[in-house]
Amino acid sequence: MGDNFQLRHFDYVLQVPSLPAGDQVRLPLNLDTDSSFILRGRAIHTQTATPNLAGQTVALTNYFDRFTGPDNDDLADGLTRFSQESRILGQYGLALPVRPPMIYPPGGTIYVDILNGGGDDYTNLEVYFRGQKIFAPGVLPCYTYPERFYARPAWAGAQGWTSPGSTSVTLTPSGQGSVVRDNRFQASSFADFVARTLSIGSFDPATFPDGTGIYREVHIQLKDMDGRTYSNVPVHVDVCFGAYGSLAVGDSSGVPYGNWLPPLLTPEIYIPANQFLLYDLYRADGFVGGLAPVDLQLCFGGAQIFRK
Amino acid sequence: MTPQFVAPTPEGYRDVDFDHFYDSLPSSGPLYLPQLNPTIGDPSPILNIPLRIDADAPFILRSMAFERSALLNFSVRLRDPFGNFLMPDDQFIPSWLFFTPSNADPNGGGCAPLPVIDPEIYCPPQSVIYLDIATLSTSTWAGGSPGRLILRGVKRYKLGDGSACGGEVVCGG
Repeated sequence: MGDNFQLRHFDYVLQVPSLPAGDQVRLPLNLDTDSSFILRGRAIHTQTATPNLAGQTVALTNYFDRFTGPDNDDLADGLTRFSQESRILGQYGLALPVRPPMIYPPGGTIYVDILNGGGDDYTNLEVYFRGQKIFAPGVLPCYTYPERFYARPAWAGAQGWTSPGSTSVTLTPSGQGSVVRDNRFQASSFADFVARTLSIGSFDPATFPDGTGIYREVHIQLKDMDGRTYSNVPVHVDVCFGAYGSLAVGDSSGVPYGNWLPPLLTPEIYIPANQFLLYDLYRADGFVGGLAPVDLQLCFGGAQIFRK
Repeated sequence: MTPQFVAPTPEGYRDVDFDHFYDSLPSSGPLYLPQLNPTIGDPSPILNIPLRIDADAPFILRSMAFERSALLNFSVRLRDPFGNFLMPDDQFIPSWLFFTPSNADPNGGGCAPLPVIDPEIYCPPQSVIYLDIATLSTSTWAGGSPGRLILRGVKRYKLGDGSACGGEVVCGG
């Protein structure tokens, strides 16, 4: 893109409240009018009472879809089975690549054909389109590296989280409306911070997998200092970020396995010293009932940038 | 066509892949690092665990992970060989948010590479990276240990002084 564009990480989510077994629908995803969008990857997620990736793979084994390109042409003759292309359904930051990437115009529409080919209804199905918005220079503040600097790798937790064992954010019990808004991730006073990865999770092996100290449906929405979001609606934490510690992904056999890579923010998000990134957290576990508050922990990985 | 690498070797040097291991099991012999074993029931963090770098060459650290950990829920804090904290504001980070590889995925999908440290960290010969660990699961350390710790990267030998062709390192054509 050269110097004539500014890219900004962005996720579009098509929300499908319900889709009965055997049904097929064609739904529009309307893109924002403020910029073009480069589509680089896709993912799917659905609400299920079964934790782990195993629950997702079972629920979405017979999910089929097809979507349109920038010219509103269908990009396939028929609907394809998503799980056949991505065993992990594009989740945990490993979106199913869209190659070559496609650029949609401002205000464009992606039409998505979805078939529920399984025997169970879908509830709160989400279809993710991950990529970047493209802005002309000057439209947004452009925080970036100083002319002369050195970088040091760094990992930082969320606000107020400075002692071992303490937690970042507690999401109180299940049900719609469990929201913690405007949490703050602040760069240090002496260095800029460039965020390249984000891992989110909780950990309660004593009650895993069926205990109360876990979660199923937690969504996050990142925002810059000015409140501009990095997604059209909140995204599920395990779809775009996730971690081993996320009990929606953990392994009941006790075999530890971690986040995949870990999940990358592309492009990275540059936060000047003393400035911050905001994020809202949403929990909607009312459908399983009886879940306890969960301590959610975040790790922003990247580098500290020191001016020379 | 010349092969391209993300982190090329500087001219006049030869990089050789190398893993430093530190293990909490006494049976691991020279890899055994007793400080990796917390005292069960003790609530205190274990500070200043020395991760020593070999003396024969500088080490360029590019990845780090705990493997076969029996103790899952602990947090980590690191200092580079020059004493700089790598967690801003001296925070501890849960190991499972970054430093645990996907070494066993029962759902398929294979194994991912170890978590990448970028930019890389230059470690002089015989330098020490200090590791702090703290329990997260309860108010005291539960059973188990962090298992084996891998520091992955390259040793950087200078060409022309003999070190690049000494010992186990074989120079190609």
